This record gives sequence, structure tokens and C-alpha cells, in this order.
Amino acid sequence: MQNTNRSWLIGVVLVAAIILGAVWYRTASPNTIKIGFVGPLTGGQAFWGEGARNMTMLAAEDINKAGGINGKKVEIVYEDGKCEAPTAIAAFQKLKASGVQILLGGHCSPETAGMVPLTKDGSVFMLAGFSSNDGAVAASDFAYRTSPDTFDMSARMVPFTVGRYKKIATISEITPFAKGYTTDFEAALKKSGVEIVAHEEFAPGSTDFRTAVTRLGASGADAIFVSPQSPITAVGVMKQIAELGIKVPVFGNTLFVSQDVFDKSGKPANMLGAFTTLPFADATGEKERALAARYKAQFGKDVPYSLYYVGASYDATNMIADALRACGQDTKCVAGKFKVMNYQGSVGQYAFKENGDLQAARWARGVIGEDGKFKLESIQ
Amino acid sequence: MEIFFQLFINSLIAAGIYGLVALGFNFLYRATKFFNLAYGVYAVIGGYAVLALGRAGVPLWAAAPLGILAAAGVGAACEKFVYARLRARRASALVQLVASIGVMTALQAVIAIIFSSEFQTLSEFAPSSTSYSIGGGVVTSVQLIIFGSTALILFGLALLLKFTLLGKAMKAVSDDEEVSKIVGINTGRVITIISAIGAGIAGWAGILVGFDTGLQPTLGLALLLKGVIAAIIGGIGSLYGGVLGALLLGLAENFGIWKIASEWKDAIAFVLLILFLIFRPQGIVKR
Repeated sequence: MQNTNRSWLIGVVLVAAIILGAVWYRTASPNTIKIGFVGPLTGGQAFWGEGARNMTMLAAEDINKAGGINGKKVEIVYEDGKCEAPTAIAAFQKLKASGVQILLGGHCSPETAGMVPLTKDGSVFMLAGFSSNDGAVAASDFAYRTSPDTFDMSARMVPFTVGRYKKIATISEITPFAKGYTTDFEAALKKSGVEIVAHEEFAPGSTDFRTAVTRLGASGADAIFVSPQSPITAVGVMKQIAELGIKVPVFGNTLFVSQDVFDKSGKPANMLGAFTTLPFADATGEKERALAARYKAQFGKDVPYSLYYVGASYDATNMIADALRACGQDTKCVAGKFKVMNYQGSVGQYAFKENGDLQAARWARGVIGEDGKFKLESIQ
Repeated sequence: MEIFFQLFINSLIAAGIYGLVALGFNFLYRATKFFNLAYGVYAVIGGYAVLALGRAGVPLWAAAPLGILAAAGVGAACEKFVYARLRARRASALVQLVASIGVMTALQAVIAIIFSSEFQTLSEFAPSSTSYSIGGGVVTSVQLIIFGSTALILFGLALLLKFTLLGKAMKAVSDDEEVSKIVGINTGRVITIISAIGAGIAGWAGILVGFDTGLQPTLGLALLLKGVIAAIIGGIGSLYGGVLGALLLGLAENFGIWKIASEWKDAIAFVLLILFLIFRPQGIVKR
């Protein structure tokens, strides 16, 4: 019995020593610059986090191959924020405690909303992606984002809607992005004289929308606007609209109108012509094609969701690297660089508003054409 | 009137899925006496197994039974290597519940690593679902299969428990494991078989959900939640009760949001649960 206890004690001491050693090694290494990454790597929104992490890895690889930042290698420390504010805050604290001063993330609105207040003191500078709810980074001078807000996005939708439809029914998931988008869009439509005849919402994680959709179908709307938070919800809603025999045209946010959702919903006829608006990344451009090809070669799959949103993580890492070259890890200086940033990246051009929001230079209308193919058309 | 029929059909469709999950969950709970939160992941395993087999070119008629077997195998393995060992150490139901959260998280992560967290659907492996109009409402062939299989599995389990030696052993173990041991029943083996059957039912539910709505590694918890509510309001551990609970839950949710906003749907489910826990904790059918 005594021997067993001694073995246990030695085991525990060894494991503790290894962990402490690893932590010490990571903290103390003088030839690396640590950059934190917080994104949803598990859970229902992980498809965003995976794409962003992969793009960040590609960028870090390129930066290190080109000699690093002022001779120091970049090391990205990845943390899972699960698209939840509390988890993201815990990840932020952990990264900060390990010496991280620059953060890529969050990669969804709840993560970003949770972490932004923690950057107010300037101890950490953060550059968020995939975070679109209104004013998400406005509370801190040390937080910026590569996504436009839902107000901007929905405003771009209005000209394509007014004149085409007089009565709209909406259905949205209750998340900052999905619901925020619908709220902004409904307000803009009402101002333009479009009537909102039905409004339905559902909790995240729902899979049964039949009764909500039945009510939308009976509302007398000319079209249904769908605002989900993830493709699985988008397909669920669309499949159930089709199954219930509702024939009115549908359109929606950037997660709803995509080739993947159209195909997986069984290519319903009322989704032909469905449209959305999003920042434009020219998939035929040289840089864009090269990045997409590299992604596929390295990870064995196409860039998920949207070339702009996912590719922006590659550009974000490079923007941070440029700022660090000029500023070292002085977060005030880094924030100053972002204030006047005008960066031509691989999938877009980046300049930022006073409140840290992206000033998107190019926009596109994404539409499911009559041939059933999703196309991006550049708009201004 | 047309909306009324559609809402009634919507209620039955929801009840079909809740009932299927509640059936397997109750069957497992009768024997193990703890809330196995990994149960939802067995459903996801069934769905993803069919996805993998379908992509490998295995026809659906073979892939579906193999998917059920995969879920059953994982369920049996979890019982043998995790829960049975905990029970042998006289671990409480709470400890087993916590262990099941660990199993759920680990299995979910493995599925996400193998298949990625992206949304997948099984529709590509089957001819497109046909829609039927019944009394002004619409129902698809997949939904009819969901409803039919819930009834068939309920009937099958009832026959198994009543007319077979294995079923009688299962009932004995569910009633009192210690006494069953004393009379010579290999209780460990019986509980492993129960776990395999329960997980197999979950696997079948996951396959049907994969055709009806789609798959994601995290889908299991959402499936489990409504199934467990149905199981509790129907009478925890009661097979018939689980299906009745699912029916009541489906009707309450869908008719409840007829006149109020649909975001209250989950709140209706939980209010119903709380009402039952306060006023009829034994559920509709007392076991």
C-alpha cells in the first residue's frame, strides 16, 4: 500500500513538473512573439473558428518563413471561445496571464462582446473577425474588427428589396448577429414603406421550425426573410418551408443565401433568386485564387462559408504583423496604426472607422441564379 | 382550419422524434438508474456512421443497420468500460451523470475531428423525400417513417420484455440489480445488452434526423433535452409514458405558439416540465 502511494506521489510530482516546465518554456522563450487566438473551435459555430484558425496558421507560417517579426518567430496560441462570452473571457484571461498582448478574436459576436471591455485598459489589443452585431467593438480604443456590422449589411439589402416586395415576413435565430440583422433590416424596410406582416424568432439549437414557418406561410407576405446563425439552422428552416408547400420567395442574411444551403435544402424553387449582401472578395482575382488554392492544398477542403470572412483571418494576422514590426508590443502604438490603417490584403482592402468597425470598401450581392448557382455580383 | 391540421401534424412530427429518443432513454434509465447525458451522442454516432458508409459507397439498406450497430457498439462499450466500472465502485448516480458528460464531450470532439464541425445531411444518399397532404396538412415520407418506427419500436420493446427470457432478465435487473445477481442473472451482461439496444434506438433516431433536418456533432444535446423532458413528464423509466409524454410535449409546444410568438416554444416545454415536477412528479404513467 505504501509503495502504491509513493508511486502515485511521484507520478503527480512528475506531471506537475512537466506542466510547469512547459508553461515556463512557453512564457520565457525570448525569440518568439506570442499572439493569442480566440474562436469557436468546438460547438455549433466551430465551422467559423476552424476556417479562421486555418487561415491564421497559413499566415503565421508565411510570416515565419519570411523571417518573422523583427527577427522573432510568431507563435499563435489558440484558445476555444465556443462562441460564448464566458468561455471567451476565460480564454482571454488565460492568454493575458501567459503574456499575450495581441489577440486575434473573437470570431463570433458573443465572444467579441465578452472580451472587448477587458481591452479598455490597453493591456491587450484585439482584432476580431466574424463579429457583426452593432457597436461590438465601440466600447474600447484597443478593439477593431474585420467584419462590417449588421446595420451596414442590412442597409445594403434595402435597395434590392424595396420595389420588389411590399409585405415581408421574417424569421430569425435569437443571437446577436441573426436577430440584430433582422432588427436593423426591419427598421430600414419600415422607413422605406415595406410592411412587416409577420415576425418569428427561435432559440439557438432549435431544429423544429414547422409551426413558426406555418404561421409565416399564412401571413400573406410577398417574401420571407430568413436570418439564421449557422448553416444547419438555415437548411432546417428552408427544408421545412419547402416541405410545408410554402411557395413565396425567400431571401436572407449571408448564412442563409449560399450554394451549400441551397443544395442541402433540396434545391427548392422558391430559393432561386434569393439574395443577400456581403463584403466582396473576388474569387477570380489572382491573390484570392492563390489563397483559396493554398488552403485547399494544406487542409484538403475548400475555404468554408465565405472567402471574404474566412480569408480576412489571413489578412488580419498580416495586418497585426505589420503593426508589430513598427510598434513592438506597444498596444497603444498598435491601436494607432489601426486607426490610420489602409491595408490591401489577399481578400479585401481594410480601413477602419473611428469606433473600430470595418469600413468595407467593396460590397457584393450574393444571389442564387435561375441556374441554381450561387454568384457574387460586385455592388457599390 | 387548415392551420389547425398543419399544427396537429407538426405536433405529431415533433412527438415522433421526442418519443423515439425518450423510448431509448427510458429503456436505458430503467436499468442504469442515472441520467446518461451521453445518450444524445449515440444518436449522432448513428447518423455520422451512415454518412461515412454512404460516402464509401455502401447502399442505404446496408448503411442504416450498420449505423445502428455502430451506435449500439459505442453504447455497449461505454457501459462496459465506464459506467459498469463506476457502479462496481459503488459510484452514485450523480458521479455517473458527471462521467456521462465527460463521455459526451469526448465523443463529440472525436466526431468533430473526424467529420469536422460543418453541417452535413444524409439526404444525398436517398431518393428525395415525398410530401403527402393529409386533411389540409403536409407530411413527408421521412416524417412518416419517424412516426411509424416510434410505434414499432415501442411495440417491439414491449414484446421483448414480456415474452422473452432476455426481456424477463432485463425487467428483473431493472427492478432490483442485487436480487437479480443473487438469483443467478449475469447483470453486467444484461445491462450491456440494454445499453446496446438503447444506444441502437438513439442511433436510428440520429439517422432519421440526419435525413429530416441534418447532422452536426453537437446535435445530440438538443435531441436529448426534449427527449428527457418527454421521458420525465411521461413517467421516467416507463416506455409507454415516454411516448405519451412526447405526444403531450409536441402538442403543447406547437399549439402553445399558435397565438403567441414562437420564441416561447422552449419556455412552454420547460413550464410543462416544472408543472409536472411540482404536481405530478411520477409523470403521466407511474412505473
